[in-house]
Amino acid sequence: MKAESESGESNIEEFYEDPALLQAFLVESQELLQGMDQDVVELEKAPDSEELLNRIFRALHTIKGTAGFLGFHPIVQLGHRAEDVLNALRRREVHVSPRVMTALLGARDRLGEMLSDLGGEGLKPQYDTAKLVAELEQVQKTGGSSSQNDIPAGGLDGENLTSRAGGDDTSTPPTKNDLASHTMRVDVRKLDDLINLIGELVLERNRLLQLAKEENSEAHAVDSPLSHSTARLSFITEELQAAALRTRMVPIDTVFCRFPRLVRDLAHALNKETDLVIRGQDTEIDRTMVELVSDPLVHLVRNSLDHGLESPEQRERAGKPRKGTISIEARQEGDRILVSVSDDGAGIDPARILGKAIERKLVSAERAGRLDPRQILDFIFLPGFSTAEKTTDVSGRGVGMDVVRTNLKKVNGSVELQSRVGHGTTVLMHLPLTLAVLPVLLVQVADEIYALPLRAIVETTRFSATSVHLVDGREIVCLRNETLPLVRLRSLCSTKFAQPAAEEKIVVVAAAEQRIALLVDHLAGQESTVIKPLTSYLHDCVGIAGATVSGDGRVRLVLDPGGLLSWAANCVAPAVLQ
Amino acid sequence: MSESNVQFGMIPLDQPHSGAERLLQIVSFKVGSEEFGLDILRVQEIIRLQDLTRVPNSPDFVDGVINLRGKVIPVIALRKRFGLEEQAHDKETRIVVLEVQNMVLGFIVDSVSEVLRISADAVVPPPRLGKIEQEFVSGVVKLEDRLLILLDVDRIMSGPETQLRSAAKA
Repeated sequence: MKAESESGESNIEEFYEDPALLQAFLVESQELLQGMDQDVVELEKAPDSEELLNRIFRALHTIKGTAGFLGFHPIVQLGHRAEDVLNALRRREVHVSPRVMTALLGARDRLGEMLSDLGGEGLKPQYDTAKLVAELEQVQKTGGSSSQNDIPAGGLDGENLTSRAGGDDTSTPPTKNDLASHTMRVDVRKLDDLINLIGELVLERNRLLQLAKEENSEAHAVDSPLSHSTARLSFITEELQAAALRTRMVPIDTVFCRFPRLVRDLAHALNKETDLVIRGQDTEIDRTMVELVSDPLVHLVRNSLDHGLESPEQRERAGKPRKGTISIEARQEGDRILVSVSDDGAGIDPARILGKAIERKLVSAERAGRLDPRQILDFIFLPGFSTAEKTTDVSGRGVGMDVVRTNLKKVNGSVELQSRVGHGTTVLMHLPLTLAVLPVLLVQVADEIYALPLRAIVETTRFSATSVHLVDGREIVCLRNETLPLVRLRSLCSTKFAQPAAEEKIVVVAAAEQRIALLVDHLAGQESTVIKPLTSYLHDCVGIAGATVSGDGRVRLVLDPGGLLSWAANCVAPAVLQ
Repeated sequence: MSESNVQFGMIPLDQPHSGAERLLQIVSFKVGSEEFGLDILRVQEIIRLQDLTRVPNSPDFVDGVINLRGKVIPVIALRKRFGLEEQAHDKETRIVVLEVQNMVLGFIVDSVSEVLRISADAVVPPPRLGKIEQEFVSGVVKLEDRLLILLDVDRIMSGPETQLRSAAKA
């Protein structure tokens, strides 16, 4: 730091004018602040960790140093005050307490504000930091310190610190630096362009494969140079696609890292005691998924804190530890990423849900008796559904779960909920590994071919008319002791009245926690396709998730398993079709 | 990639010599017995009819979707939209591709006739037109031997849009 500022003195003006340098400073500082956020909360839990304290100090010091070098004085001043507090902490003149931490976090937030101003319209001439600074000073003094360090000269303290930290803490920072030298920042749009182009390449490859197949069947030459070449092309394309997709993967930690702070602040606000456990933060997800997962996760964590966890007193009465636990976990399972939020709170009482559902006329009392617990919990996902007696700042407006489901539906994911009264609730989100390529099963009805996302398919089997039963005006199929509602894809299509194939097939489709038996004429193969959204005119078509372009250039519609389920639930008994 | 290069709209309009008269270029096409016109600047391209993929649960007048060089666009049958009776597609049938409210879509028309240059002064407000809803019409041009109805594409599409939205809410 020190060396930098000395050598930079002669051309400060130049640097200040340089937008690239400013940008680099902003990006770096935001990252540091983000890390600081986590570290401060951690420090609160482990007050004796020198490593954490040093890390916070280093982050703050770097920001302050660079800001000073670039001439952003308000940042330097505030950073400086916060550093004083940290210094006192290090000297054990002040002890870690919620008040100290809140003051530090306050300073951190204000710095973040200044930085985003800097990125936008520029630094405001005046920041109201008086209160914050006073609090920082107060905090520093009440720790019993009288020997306040008179404005430690710029880099000196940090210099000592860095060298010392390098000595006793060889694990984390060096690896970070190592990593940094192997990475570069690339505009996401450039990557997206690349991936789109590869998507087109995959389509074109599919087309070529089909042409080669036709060519070969005519010439009876399976071993032709053409088929060799297409096979190689096919292989390379797949590799290319996989490599390109990896460039978009980021550790889910980028989503998770904000939660320690969020949970801490919320728990304070709600007077609850909470431990947050985060597991699997190294799991990689598609970059584009980060924003989409982030909001639902915030909703879920807020729900858990507000509705899930009981107050410490209630918990004690129920024979549980005063401190509740919320865990956020991510893991990869096959081609899906599972992200769960669990709490060990009160759980959701199905009777209360049902009562509310009947009260709001979502279900008739007669039908209500026949719902299984899973179906009852499903009401939670309806727009505007809330059992909260009063709306709080945090949640209870009944928008949360609805938003979670819609957000996930957008990315072809799903959400399920498990809850045991008295033991807690787990919300499990299923996300596709990537948004760009979708493996599908092609199903045919008359002359129409549809694509079904492969991950939604449980099994395929032959259909025999004798296994169909009519229950309550709905068709049910018995399959290995399991009864599934039968949905005839035919009735969704325009060719409703065409003669069905001699041997129809059943595709068992699962979405969320439900299953249906989808009746089709033929299975027409498997494909990896690039899913394209339909224009907004067609957004509301139930049961259709999007479209893909097939090898022969035709548009194929991609069925939406979740939509099929709800469509099946609403459609009239298709007996008329027989 | 290539979409944007194939725009008819790139043809420059004749500059008026004295500024006295503004010229419009109109693509004319037939739907039923009437001849319609669209400002050429609105039209992206005109393509032959291709295999349509029908979309279940879509509004009636949306005939289906097609693949336009890798982009999936909806195609709207103007006959249905105008409440005319349906007619089998033949070799004259064309899809007029245009952009409405930032969305690319196609109109199926019976046939495309020609590109006309007319003076902006020749456009008169629409008289009552019977079958075709008047709200779709932005004006009428009287040619030597026939009448040309100028369509207001934004209105054609704003109708179904609102219908769709309300249908979804219901």
